[in-house]
Formats: sequence, C-alpha cells, structure tokens
Amino acid sequence: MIDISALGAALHILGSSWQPWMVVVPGILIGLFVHAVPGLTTSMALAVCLPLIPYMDFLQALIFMTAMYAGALFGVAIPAVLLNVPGSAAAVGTTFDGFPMAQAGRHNEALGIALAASCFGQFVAYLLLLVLVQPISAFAIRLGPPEMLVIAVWGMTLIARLRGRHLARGLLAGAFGLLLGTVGLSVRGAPRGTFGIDLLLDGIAIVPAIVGLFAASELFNLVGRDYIIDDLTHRKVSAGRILAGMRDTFRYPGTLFRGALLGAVVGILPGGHAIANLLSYSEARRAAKDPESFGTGDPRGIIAAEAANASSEGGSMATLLALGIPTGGATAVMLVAFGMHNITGGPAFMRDHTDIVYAVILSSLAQVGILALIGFGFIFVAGFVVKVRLSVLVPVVLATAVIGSFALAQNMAGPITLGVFAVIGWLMQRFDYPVSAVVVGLLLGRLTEGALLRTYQMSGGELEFLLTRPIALVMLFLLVVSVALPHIRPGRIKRVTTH
Amino acid sequence: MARIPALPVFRIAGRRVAVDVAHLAFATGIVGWCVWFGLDAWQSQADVENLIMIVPAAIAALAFYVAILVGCFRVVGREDDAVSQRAPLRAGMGAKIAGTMALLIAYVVTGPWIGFDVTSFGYILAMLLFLGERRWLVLLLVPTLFCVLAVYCFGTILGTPLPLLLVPDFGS
Amino acid sequence: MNRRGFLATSAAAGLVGRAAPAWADTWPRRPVTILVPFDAGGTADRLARGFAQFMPKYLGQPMTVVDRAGAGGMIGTSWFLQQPADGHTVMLTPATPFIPVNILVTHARYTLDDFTFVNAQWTDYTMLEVPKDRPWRTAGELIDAIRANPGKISTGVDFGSVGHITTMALLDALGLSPKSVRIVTFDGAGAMRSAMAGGQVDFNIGQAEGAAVIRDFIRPLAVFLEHRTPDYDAPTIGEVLKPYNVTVPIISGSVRSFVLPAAFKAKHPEDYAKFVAAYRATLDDPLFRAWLHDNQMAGDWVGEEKTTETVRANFEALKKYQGLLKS
Repeated sequence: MIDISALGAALHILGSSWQPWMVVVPGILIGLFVHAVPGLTTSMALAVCLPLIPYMDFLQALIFMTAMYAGALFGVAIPAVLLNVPGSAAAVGTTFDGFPMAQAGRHNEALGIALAASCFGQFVAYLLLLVLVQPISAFAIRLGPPEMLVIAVWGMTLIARLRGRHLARGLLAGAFGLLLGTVGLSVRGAPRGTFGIDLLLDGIAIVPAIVGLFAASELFNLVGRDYIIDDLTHRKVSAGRILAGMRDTFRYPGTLFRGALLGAVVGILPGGHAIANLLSYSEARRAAKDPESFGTGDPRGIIAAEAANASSEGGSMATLLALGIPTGGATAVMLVAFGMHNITGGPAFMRDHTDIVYAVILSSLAQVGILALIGFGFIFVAGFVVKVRLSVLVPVVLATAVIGSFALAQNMAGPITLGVFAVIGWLMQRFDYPVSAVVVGLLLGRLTEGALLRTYQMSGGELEFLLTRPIALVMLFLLVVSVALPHIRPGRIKRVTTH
Repeated sequence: MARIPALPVFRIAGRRVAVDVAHLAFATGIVGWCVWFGLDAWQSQADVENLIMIVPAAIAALAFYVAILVGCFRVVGREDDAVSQRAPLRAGMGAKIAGTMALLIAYVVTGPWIGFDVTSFGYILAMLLFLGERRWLVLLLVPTLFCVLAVYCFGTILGTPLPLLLVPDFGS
Repeated sequence: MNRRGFLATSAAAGLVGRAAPAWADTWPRRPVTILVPFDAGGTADRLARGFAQFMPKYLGQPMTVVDRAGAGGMIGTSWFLQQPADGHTVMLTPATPFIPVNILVTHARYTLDDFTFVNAQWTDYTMLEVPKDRPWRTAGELIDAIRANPGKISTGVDFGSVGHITTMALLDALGLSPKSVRIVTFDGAGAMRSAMAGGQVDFNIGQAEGAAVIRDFIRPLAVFLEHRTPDYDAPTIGEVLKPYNVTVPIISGSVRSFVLPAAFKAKHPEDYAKFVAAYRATLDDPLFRAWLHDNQMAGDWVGEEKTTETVRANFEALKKYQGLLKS
C-alpha cells in the first residue's frame, strides 16, 4: 500500500534541503496566533498566508498550509479552555470540560492535555494517511447523502446528552439551534427567515453566533467575579503543570485512540471536520462508566474532543489528495495552494506526484513534534490571561471578537449577530437552557437538512431506496444499538434477578 | 444579602398558582420564533423538499414547549412561598449585567457606522468604568493600546480594513 | 457628504492628520480596486490577482483585489454598485450566470442595465456526463433509459447554474416532464462533483472546467458547444439531438469579464475608453499571456457588444426556464 520508491524520493526531498522546512514554524505560528484570538477565523489567517504563496514552490506551499492548519487546529482550543469561548466551531467540544478545569485553577493541565491530544490526533491521522490513502479515498467517495444523514442523526443524539438538568429545555434548545442553522436561502432558491435582509441569505454567521452565545453569556455572569479563577493561589502559570497535563493525556489511551480514529473517519466526509470533536465527545461520554463527570472538568472530555478534531484534518486530506475534492476547512485552504500553482488533485495527481504527497505527509508527521514545542511555549504565555482582571479582560476580548466578526465579511452582519446571540445566550443561561445544545443544533442544521433533502430526492420518495445503501443501514444499526444499549442492559439484569 | 426571587402568584380556577412569568415569556419567545420561521419557510415555498426538516423541527419545538409550559405553573399551598428555582442574583448584579449588555449592543451597532477606533475606545473605557476600575493609568492605557493594536493588526497585517473615524486612509 | 465626512468635521477634525495621497490629474486618479464577489482562492479571484500584477503598468496606478463573497455574488455586486461610479472600483466576475441568477432567483435589486460588460475573456462550457460505472455509453442510451424508467434516473444539479438550466431545457425539448428524473440539488459545484465522482447520482450537466478534477471518474456523453472540442471525446449536443429532431439553446457556462457600472461609461466615456485600452494592452502583453497560459486561463477578446449579447441571452434563457427550476 505504500509506494516505497516514492517514499524514498520524499525522504530525499525532505532530507536534502532546508527549503521545505523553512515554512513550518511561520505556518504554525500564524495558525496559532490567529485562532487563539476569539472571533478571528481561518479566512484571516489565509489573508496573511496568501500573499506569501507565490514566493514558494508547490511543496513549500502545501507544507506551509498544513503547518498553518496544524497550528489552527490546536489554537482554537486555547480560548476555549481559558475563556470558554471556542476559537471556532471545532473547539466547542473542548469548552465542555476545558473551561471547568480552568475555573478550578487547572488551566495549565487542561491546556497541556489539549496540546498533547491534538498532537497525537494529528500524528495518528497522518500515519493512517501514509498507509491507507488510496483505500480511504476509495471508501470516502462511496459515502453519500444517506450516510451523511446517519452521521447527522448521530450528531443530534449529542443534543440529548447535553441537555443539562431539564430534558425539555435541552431539546427545545436543540430544535431552536437546528432551525437557526437553516436560516437563509435554501439550496433550491427559497429564502427562509431572512426578513428580506440580504446579509442573512447565506445564513447566520456561525462564528460570531457561537462567540456571542458562549462568550458574552459566560462573561456576563463573571461580572460578579474579579478573575476567571477565584482562588489567588491557583492563578499561576506553570510549565511543570502543563507538562503534567501532557503526560496525563496518555493515561487514557482508550479515549485517546477512539477520539483519533473517530475523527479521522468523520473528517473524510464533507462538513465532517467541524463536528468531529462533538461526535467524539458524545461517544466518549456514552462509553464512560461515569458519564456525569463529563462537563465538570473531566480530562477525557478534552482528550476526546481535541484528538478527534486534530485527526479529522488527516481524514479530509485523504479526500483532497486522492480525489482533488475538498471537504471544507483545511482542505479548502489547501486547494488554494493547489490553485495558485495550478495543480489539480485527484488520481492523476496521486500517480504523477506521489513523492510530493508523501513528502507532505511525512513533514506533517514531523510537524507534530514542532507543534508540541511551539504550542507549549504558546500555552505558557497565553496562560497569563488568568492573571488579568476580568474588568479588563472582558471588554478587550469582546471588542476583539466584535471587530473580528466585522472584519471577516466587511459588513455589520457579524457584530449584530454577536450582539443578538449574546443576549440570547445570557437569557438561556439564566433560565437553565444548555447553550451548547443550541450550538450543536446550529452546526448540524444545514448539514442535516442537506443530507435529509438529498436522501429524499435520491430515493424519489421510495423507502426501498435505503436497501440500496448498505453502508448507511449498517451505520444506522450501529447507532441504534449504541444508543439503546445502556438502556437495555440494566433492565435485563433486573428481570433476571427478580425471577 | 441575596434576594430570593419570588414568583408571582395568581388565582386560577380557585387555587393559588405560582407562574414563572419570566421563563414563560422567554420560552414563548423562542418557540414563537420557531413557529414563525416554519410559517415563513412554508410561505416561501410550500413543498416537501423545502420543509422536510423545518416542519418536523418546528413541531418538535412546540411539543417541548408544552412540556415546559406545564412546568411553569405550580400550585402552591396556603403557607408556601412561591420560590423560583433560579440562582438568586446578588443585589445590584441584575442592573450591572443589563448595563454590560446594553454597552455591548451599543458597541456592535455603532462600531461599523461611526468607526471602530472611536467606538472601541469608548466601549472599553465605558466597561472599565462600569466594572469599577478607577485607576487613571489603566483607564487611559488599556483602551488606547487596544485601539492602536487592533487598527494595526486588522488593517495592516490581516489586510481587512475597518471603518474608522480618525484614520482616513485605513477606512473602507 | 457621506457620514464619515460629516462626523469627521463635526468631531475634533484635524486631530489626526495624514497627508493625502498624490492625486493625478486624469483618470485613474488613485489606486483602482478590483472587486471579486467571491471567496479568495477561487478562479475569479486568481484572475483578478493576475491583473493586479500586470495591468498597473498600462493603467498608471496600482490595483488591489478585494473579495466580498456572499449570496452567490450578490453581496459583493451590491456593494460594487454602491461605490462611486468614477472608475476607481471595477469588478471581475463570472458575469453570467451569476448576475442573472442574482436578479431572477435571489431577487437582487439591480438590473442588467446597471452594468457594462467589457469583455467575455474566459468562457466555460457545459457538458453532459455520467459516472464511469453506469452502463450508458452514449447520450442516446441515457435518454432512452430516462424514457423507459420515468422517475427513476437521478441527476445532480447545482441550483440556478447554467448546468441546471440546461438540464431542464434539455428535458423540455425532449418532451420529458421535470418529474421524469430525480433532481438532487447540491450546495455548490464542488459538492456535486464529489457526488458524481462517487456515483451518487446517475448523470449531471455541469461545467467542463470543473469536471477536469474528476476526469477519471466520469464518462462525458456530450458537450454543449457548436463544434467538438479536443478536450473531451464526446459528440456535440447538436449531433446527439439530431435523431430526435429537437434543439436546445447552448447557454455559455461561466463567462468571466470585467464589469463596470453603466453610469461610469455614460458619464465618463473617455475614461472608460482608457480603461478598455489599458485592459486590451494587458491582454496583449506577452508576459501576461504566459501567465494566463500557465494558469490555464483564457484571454479571449470578444468585445463589449458580443459579451452583452451573451449575458442577455443567458438571462432570457434563465427567465424562460425559471419556472421549471422550481419544480
């Protein structure tokens, strides 16, 4: 499965000159910096990177982009842990247990765990890619709307798990989020819920909405507090504890591996990379013997979310390299590098440039180590945020998020969305509605509707159609089993003992 | 001193019923939007393909609403206090939170219109004052530093020009 | 006076002064902005950046590219029309199908008359294709299959695209109702190509350029051109439809063109002529031609009249088949 001669050529390219390696550190730094600031997005990081690409050759450009994205994948976790504001949709899962750990004064460990899990996830994904890129992509293209639908439904079961104390409120929040996710021009040209406002035609701006829901609502509550961490003795930045956190990650190999594998698989699908962290978190919680500890600062929550998020990039890489088809996120970014050097991916590319493909994969494996180092330093510096008074931190973070949300599209849709969702988010917190359920719904909205719609269209309204989709049926079966299992077992035991 | 919020009590069908009015209003608002959205989508294109997920989700929202509705009404005995289950707000915090929200709304609305340099400075300054900061150095340095850095980073490094009042060349 | 001028003079004006940029006497008086109403990295954006590199020499002022994506090009186009029509903001976009789609499907508030379409520099065409694993080897076989199994064969469409319009026009010409195929709507051409590569749908009429990416997974059955092309081994649609005694309008695919506000040409015809001259000079520049070639982009000269004709023809076709699109 590995083309040995191409591998050798790749090793030679990478080993013989500094050129491909020059771009790794700048790439990682740009990715880290931009994504560690809440409200800033990958498009902005791209804006910084794009002008530099013409000066690089194709391999350098690819490595630069993967490095940028490696930094990005981890960078978003930093504000998620420290401020409860995910740097992007990909870090939502990390907030669930990351922020509680930070509030308890264990921010160093939390960030260390996130870094280690992220590095591990990336490593596993690229290793898989190296060995399995052809089979992965062959499998990937057979997945269509029905399979996506099962994945989307699987994602929705997370909503039920995030419900908090009141089931009806959690489910309402989820339904609300789902509907919010479909606002805009439908794929068939019908505007829904847009009030005639052009800026809503593309739907609700996701990042400002998420930032608003998480940040403002949380930060408003902290108005009554002085610092993120109440206890002065815990407001420290400690390299030792960061390292301890990193080591801690490997005490949960089950969660780690499951997260990495799940992320890699989900990343193959279009739109999968954004929800990989959530699906992994949901699974880790379901599989745990003590699910109630999730959401209170359980390291497994961070590990599951981060590992999956990082490895989902590798999965989507497979589709890009082998098929030339981007599945969003990192690969859309990579495609820009392809385009600017006027190369199209796909089987022809794999055949003719196998050495370049391997060189990218190998350098990505090496990048993991570099990311660990740079990330460690970055965390150390970022950790000082906990020492800043909230009266200074809150307005600065919010102002950055607002400006960032404007800068992206250059219109007021971003800031207004942030403001509106800040209010909604706070009200939800006040009345004990899980904000995370709304976010999951929002992220899943378009994806679910699209999958459902296309499955319906493909089937022509005939149920027998599903019989022609064995993969979807198998996935559905697994899903039903995994959801029903915890409920069936205890019942059985009860029946046995009463007889 | 924590103020334990009491729910308004009404006489309904001869019994004393505590109604969580605030929660009711909020839930009604959320579900109201969901229903409006469903109707808007229906009116936009009334076919299965357009409504395939929207209608079921809106109906589900209504169903959950009913469950919540029921929970908002509680019969209370003669001596019971109709106590809200929500965490009590410390005295004055309600006003403070409303204030920070109002400042944020003012900021997002005026920022793109007037210019982010001036409004960011104003927002951060106002928030600092509102949250109790009184040191002159902080009140001056933090907003200024932020504005300078933000304008520089967004304008120059990221190449995303911002509408600004005082720095014409960066404006969009 | 715009709001910034008002506020600047009513506030502490002059607090922060900056030297005004050097103004030239004639147009262009200051740097020119090329607006691309789509995302950075797309084909229009890359072409624009090429112009920003090579055209300033002939224009006498630097050029910068600004991307404003949203609502299928409508957001950026609306913004473009709000800028002063003094020739310092120009737009580079696939004028059709996007502007007609904006107007007819997305209910944009502008009309074709608001624009001047300078030149259809790079035009794509559409192509009928099926996934490789499907049994049909000719378009005729596919058509027969549709006739024999009404409502069973599926087609992927990118809603509102030229491919979509052409699909409906073809069915209509053959006397087939829209319900005779299962229409599967995708969110953009990329998603649809993935589906084609994976054999999720039975056939697709789509952009030929885009199809190059999935070349190995598909079999082209017809090209919508007047004459055969060496790119693909497939008959023209004219050849295919001959036995059925029907014709289908050949609507151009993405037509990339510089677009200027009609008001600019009306109010400053000499400046407009200058722009066109600088543009033509750039197209003739051997370095730019080499750049175009390396990037697999075209540098055709078709002229404003023909380009406008093409855009209007596409608009009329979309209008005619618009009703069918919604079914």
